[in-house]
Amino acid sequence: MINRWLKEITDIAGVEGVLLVSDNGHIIEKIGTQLDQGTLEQIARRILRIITAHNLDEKSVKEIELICYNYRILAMSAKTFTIITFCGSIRALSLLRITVNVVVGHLIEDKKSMKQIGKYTGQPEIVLEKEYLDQLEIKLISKLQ
Amino acid sequence: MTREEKEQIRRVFPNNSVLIKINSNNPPTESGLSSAEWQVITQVDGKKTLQNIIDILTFEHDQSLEIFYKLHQKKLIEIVEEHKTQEELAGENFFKKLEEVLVKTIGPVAVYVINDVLWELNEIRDKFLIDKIPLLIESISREILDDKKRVHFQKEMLDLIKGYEIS
Repeated sequence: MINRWLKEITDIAGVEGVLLVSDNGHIIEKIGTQLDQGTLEQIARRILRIITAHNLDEKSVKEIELICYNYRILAMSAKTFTIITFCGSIRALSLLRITVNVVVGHLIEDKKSMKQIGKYTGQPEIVLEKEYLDQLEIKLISKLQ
Repeated sequence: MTREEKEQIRRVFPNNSVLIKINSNNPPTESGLSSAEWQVITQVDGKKTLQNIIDILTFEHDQSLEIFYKLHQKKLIEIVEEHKTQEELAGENFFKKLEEVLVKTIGPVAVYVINDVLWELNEIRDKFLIDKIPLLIESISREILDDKKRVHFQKEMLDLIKGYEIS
């Protein structure tokens, strides 16, 4: 079922891949993308760090757009999961945002999907732990002191 | 500029991406044109869009539209036809269905919301392109404050636009 909904996203022109990630950074489902698993996990964790850090500060973030590895990346977050979309072009960005928002809605309403997602959720703060930070982030943090 | 005046202008220039050319059958002469109108005329070459000329002259947006409109009424400038076919336009049926869905979502205020969003996007119904439908839906969605209602509206609209060829 999850795969079917994610396919709705990858059917949009310009979309090259999509990930469904749990709140602690586990990749639950993926379609497309030429990037290797390690890189995808790194991107997912970086996005989740932004979301989690804002949530800890009680500034809820639902949507993030960034450019990374020559992709325009759109991440849309629900409470326990985030959909990360990799776009090669931005021709259909409005259509993409609407579709992802609807897919998030479908997943929340679908008990089976939520049960599957629920197996991987919990401890979202884990993505903020030092061992998950990449070298650039560690370097930036060290300059804050 | 009033809403009615702007809508009147938008019936001639549906958006700022249209190309403008001098009417070769009625080239401008010295008499009767203001200096601002001449500044616009000197930029019109059939290759620049309305927005290009606004950017070059750094006139205020609505003031520029009024000048373009006056020059068009005097038959001194024309739009370079892009040959948009009926298939490329969203059409009245689309707007009827959009209204139906939005009325169900937010009530009778829907009609005003659609008109306001079209106004903000500088668009009019009868020249609205299919390719811009997602942008319209997204803009209208921002006006729906309830998360569940917003998703429901988007679901219905996605089903509706599946029949359109959006590039």
